[in-house]
This record gives sequence, structure tokens and C-alpha cells, in this order.
Amino acid sequence: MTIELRAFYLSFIFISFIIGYQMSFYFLYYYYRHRERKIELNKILLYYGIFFGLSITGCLFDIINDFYIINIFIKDIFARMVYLLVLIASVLILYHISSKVYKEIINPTLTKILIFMNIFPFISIFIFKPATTEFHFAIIFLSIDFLFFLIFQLNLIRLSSGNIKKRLKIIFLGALIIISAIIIGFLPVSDLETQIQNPIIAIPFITTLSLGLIILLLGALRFPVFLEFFWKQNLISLFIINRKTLKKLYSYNFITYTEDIDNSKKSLININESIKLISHGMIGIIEIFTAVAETKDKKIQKIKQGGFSILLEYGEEPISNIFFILLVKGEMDSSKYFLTTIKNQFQWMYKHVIPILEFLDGSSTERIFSSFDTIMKNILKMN
Amino acid sequence: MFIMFDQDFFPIQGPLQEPLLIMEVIVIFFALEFGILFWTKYKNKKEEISNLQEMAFSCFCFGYFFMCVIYIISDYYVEDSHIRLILLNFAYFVQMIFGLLFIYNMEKFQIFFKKFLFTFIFIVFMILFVICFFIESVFTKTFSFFFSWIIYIIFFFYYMIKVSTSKQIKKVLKNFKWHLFELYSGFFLLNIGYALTTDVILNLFGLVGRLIGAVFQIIGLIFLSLYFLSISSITEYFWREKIDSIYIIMQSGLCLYSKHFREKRESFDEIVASGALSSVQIILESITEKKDLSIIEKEGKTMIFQPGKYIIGVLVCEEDLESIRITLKNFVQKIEKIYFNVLRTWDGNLNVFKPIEDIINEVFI
Repeated sequence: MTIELRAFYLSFIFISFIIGYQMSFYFLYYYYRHRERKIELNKILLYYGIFFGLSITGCLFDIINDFYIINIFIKDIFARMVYLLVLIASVLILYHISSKVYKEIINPTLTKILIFMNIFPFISIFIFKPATTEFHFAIIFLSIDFLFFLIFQLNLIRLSSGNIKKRLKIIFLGALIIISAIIIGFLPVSDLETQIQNPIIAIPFITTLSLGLIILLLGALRFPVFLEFFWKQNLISLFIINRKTLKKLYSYNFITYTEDIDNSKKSLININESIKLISHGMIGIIEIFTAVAETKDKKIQKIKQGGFSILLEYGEEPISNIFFILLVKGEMDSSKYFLTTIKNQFQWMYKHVIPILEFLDGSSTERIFSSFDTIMKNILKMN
Repeated sequence: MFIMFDQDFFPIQGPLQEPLLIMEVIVIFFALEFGILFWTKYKNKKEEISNLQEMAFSCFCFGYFFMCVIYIISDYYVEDSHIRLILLNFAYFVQMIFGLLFIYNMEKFQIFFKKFLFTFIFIVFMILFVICFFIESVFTKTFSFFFSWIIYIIFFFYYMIKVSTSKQIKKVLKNFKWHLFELYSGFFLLNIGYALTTDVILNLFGLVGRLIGAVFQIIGLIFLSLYFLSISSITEYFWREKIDSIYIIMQSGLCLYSKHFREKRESFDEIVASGALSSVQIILESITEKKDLSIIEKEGKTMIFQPGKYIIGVLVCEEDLESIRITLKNFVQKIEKIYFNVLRTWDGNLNVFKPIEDIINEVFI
């Protein structure tokens, strides 16, 4: 054998880091891509990105420390940095899941207690010397944090649906494989130097770690927008109306889509039956509001009435005379995102048809826009 | 003799072995990752024009991956110079196969000088390479250096010139200069990096040169991938000037819409033409008993028929390119998607199809 195990071991370790950083980058990228939508749950992508980025940096510091640093003083700093970075990553993700939006998934008080408990390992890494056993006290807290995070992840999978559920499952599987790698690599030996002298430990460790990270990366790729849980159940109906003619171009009743219909929704179904009221009423409200509030350049985005909301979106050139009305129960950021998606799809499909509507009879118009049903069903499949 | 490899270097050992191996494994990782990434993009976007370039680059990356894997085995493990030579030849051959796939897919997308010219040249050299290997395997290294690599370089140069001089791409592609920089720097870094790993250069600069070469290859691969990711969104601009006219015909032969992208011929009856075109499609369908894409080629002109459920799209163009076929198919599908319910029970009102003009302008111009 002309090559040492160490060289191969380090090659795979560095590849694992590259994968880890790519994953972190993907999460951050997807978060910034959808940031303007202001969907609260989407922030989880930001925290995933920071968590993986900091954890991987911590591990990188550990490798540099074990294999390349000889100076005792610098070794000491690096050893503290490793724990510090992983602890910050862990506390940040705990801080995020302590938010109220996850109250149905995990107990926020319990999460806050756990965050508070993390003060101890923070202190310990600054008080004790890396050579002492007490210094590694942080491992116990980190293990509890990760276990807690895994439970959170499991509950998140249980409550989510569609593509996001699939992605979360992949991420969970990847995380489990990485944990297995850590057990394989560090249970028999405590440090990396000893580990690489033993191929029976080093090879399974490095391959399992790389596999886990690759699976995590696959889960991170094309991560969808994280919409609120049960958002579809709040949808009531959609209307696309031509402002010029006050005629309906398309409508969709979501009540048939959602499984349970409560009485409050039933009262709104009656409104659906009177499309004329919707179109005339909405335009009336917009006109009155514009005149009273003197806001010609601004448009009404939302009307709230009791437990219901009417969300409005306006077409862009060449379909600026079209507006989109979505009736929903309650108030969710996801509904707004849903309406914007509908607007974009409708624009893409009919932007060339709308300008010639005045030349068409009612039956042709109806037949053209009824094709949007297929697109609508596809949009409803998201998460 | 031009090529003489210094066996003193192999198998690679010493203090530079570890960093060199790490960097070369990273090159392999990136080549494999980009290969999978572009392959997945190709698979996910069925029937899209950009697919061809994505698939081409995916082949390029896979070829690079296999070649580098064999290089590592031969340079770090093999002590026998003869076995190393055989392994290296195998690496060149594998790279040539994937290189051929790369050039073939690029030429399928757009014509360089003459249809499949580079593909043809490459096949000829591959055959010569195999013959040369059986006659005297020592020469195959020189052969692959002088011929296959040079064909690659000429092909890339021609492609780069074509991209940099295209006014349409310049107009459409955001940050055009930056993407050109990605293409040029990617190409040069990859080639310089590869050259630095060859035995000839190794004799001149030693293992430090090879280490720098590996770094260059990583940066080169990243730049080229970034370029191919950005260019895939505007690929249709490569073939737009090749289109003459388009017809949208009902299965019955009635012309719903027609447009001439160049000067319209005088005394040309479109109603008669569309009827005739529809008949052609019907005849072809009854002969082949298949409702599928039909192509009629004449020197300098090609007619592509794309039947849908209710309509037939006919495109008259200068060349039969895969990219044009895919665009026509997508266009027919889009029209049928929008007018699905109208076409099903059409009452003869042509006004309803007026927006097709804008859709055509969006897709073809």
C-alpha cells in the first residue's frame, strides 16, 4: 500500500465539509429567495442554514486542531471554538423552535428551559481547560439538545404534508445516519488521531458520515416554501374578475376540497352564489376607499370581517384590469402566498388572451378560462 | 520524443502526497456532483431545449470524473509503469467516450460549421486511438494529447466565439460579461489545470505544479458549471433566426393562425397551404399508423409537423434542430392547454385565437 489511510480519511472529511457548507448555503439561499413573502414558518430555513453552517465550521475547527495545529495555545483556542460554535448553532435552533408558531409541535416552555440550561456548557467551555474531563461536559447538553431537536423534527414531519413532508423525511433520515456515524466513530475511540489509525473504525465512520450528509443535501435541494400547517383548510373560494366589465372570468370553490365544513363557512358559501355581489361589491369598496383615503396609487390588499378575510391581488400589465379575490377563514401568510401563486400562473397562461376579451362572446370566454382548473389543482398540491 | 513520463514520480509519495490527494479527490467530487446535478436537471425538465446543453455538460463532467478516478488509481497505487500506461490509456478512452457525448449533444442543439462535424471528427480520432493502442500503446498518450484534446479546445473556442458575438444573447442574458468571464476563465483554468497534471509538465514543475493544477481544475469546473446553469435559461436565442414561418392548423385542415418571420411570398394562399399541410400530415399518419412528429427535409428547408390532440403545429425552418422541435412541441401543448375547452367544441370563431400572435412572438421571436 503506497498511500496512508490518513490521506484518504482527510479527503473524505473535506468532501463532507464541502457538502455540509453547500447544504447550509442552499437553506440560506431558499430562505432569502422567499423572504419577501413574510411567511413565519419559512424562517426555519434560515435557522437550518445557520445551524448546519456553524456545526460544520465547528467540525472543521476540530479537524484542523487535531491534524494540523501543534502549538498548545492555539490548540486550546481551537478546542474551545469547536464547542462554542456547535453550542451556538444548537441554541439558535432551539430559540427558533421556542416560537409560538410551533406550539402545536413542541412545548415552548420546555424549549425555553432547555435554552436556559445551555448556559452551563457555555460557562464550562470557558472555565475548564480542554484537557480536563469537565470541559467535555458540554457533550451531555448537546446530546439533549439534538435529541429534543429530533423529536421536534419528527412532529414537524407528522404535521406537514406534500413535498415538504418528503423533504423533511429525507433530512431526518440524513440526520439519523450522521448520528450513527458519530456513534460508530467516537464510541470506541475518543479522538480523531486514534480513529484514523484503525481502519475498522475510520472507514465505516467516514463513509456513513458522507452518506448522511449527501442525503441531507438531497433533502435541502429545491426546498419548498414552508407554508403554515393546515392552511388549505382555511380556504373558502377564489374569484378572478374583470374590473372593466365586472364579469367573472374564473371561480373556484375550495369547500369541496376541504373535508370539514363548519357553519361559519356555510354562511360564506351563500356569498359565493352571488358572484355579482362579489364583483360589484369589491369594486365599490375599492372605489370608496380610494376616494376617502386619497390613496390612488395604493391598492387594497386585505379586508377583514369577523373571522374571515378577503385577500386581493391585482394583475400586472397587460392584465392590470383583472383582480383576484380569495375568501379565507382567519388570517394566514400562506393564503397570501397562495393567491400570489395563482395570480402568477393566471398571468403566465392568459396574459395574451385578456386584451382581446371584448371581442369574445360569453361562452368562448367561459370555455377559455375553464382550462385553468387543471392549473388550479396543481397549485393546490403544494405542501 | 515528445512524451516521456518520468516514472520517478509514480506512485506519488512524500509530503505533498496528502494535500495533492485531498485536492484531487475534491476535483473528483465536484465533477461527479456537477454531473449528477446537470443530469437531474435534464431528467426533470423533459422536452425543454436547455436540456441538451445540460445533458452535454453532464456528460462532460461524468467523463472528467471517471478520468480523474482512473488517474488517482494509476498515479497513487500502481508501481508498474506498463500497467500505469494501460490504465492511463483507459482513462483517455473513457474521457473520449464522454467527450463524444458532450460534443454530440452540443451539436444536436446547434450547428457548428456543419451538422455533426465535430462529432464525426471525434469518432474518426477515437477509432484511430484504438488502432494506435493496439499497434503501439506508448504513442496513444501523444495521440490523445495532440488530437482529442485539441479537438476539444477548437470546439470550445468556436463555441465561446459564437456565444460572445451573439447580439441576442448579449441582449437577453443578464450580467452577460460576468457569464462570459465564467465561460472563458472556466475553460482556461480547467485546461491549464489539466495540463499541469500531465507527465510532461510534472517533469518541469514537479508535484507543486500538479497541486496548483488541481486547484485550477476545481475553480474551472465551478465556473463552467455556473456558466451552463445561467445559459440554459436563454438557450432558445441560439436558433431563433433559423425560423421561416409557422402554421397552426385544425385537424380538419382549417388554418387557425399563420405567421411569416421573413418576407411574405406574393400570391400565396394560406388557406390552400394549410389544407395541403394538413393533408400531408394525414397521409403520413395513415402510412405510419402513428400520430407523431413528422419532418420533411429539402435542401436548405425543413418542415416540422407537430400534431396535438386538436391542432397541428407546422414550422418551416432552415435546419432541423432538436431545440426547434422541442419548442414547437411546447408551443402546441401551451395552445391546447389554454384553448382546451374552446378547441373541443369550436364554433368557427377565429377571434378567439388572436392572442396566438403574442404567444408566438413570446416563444419564437
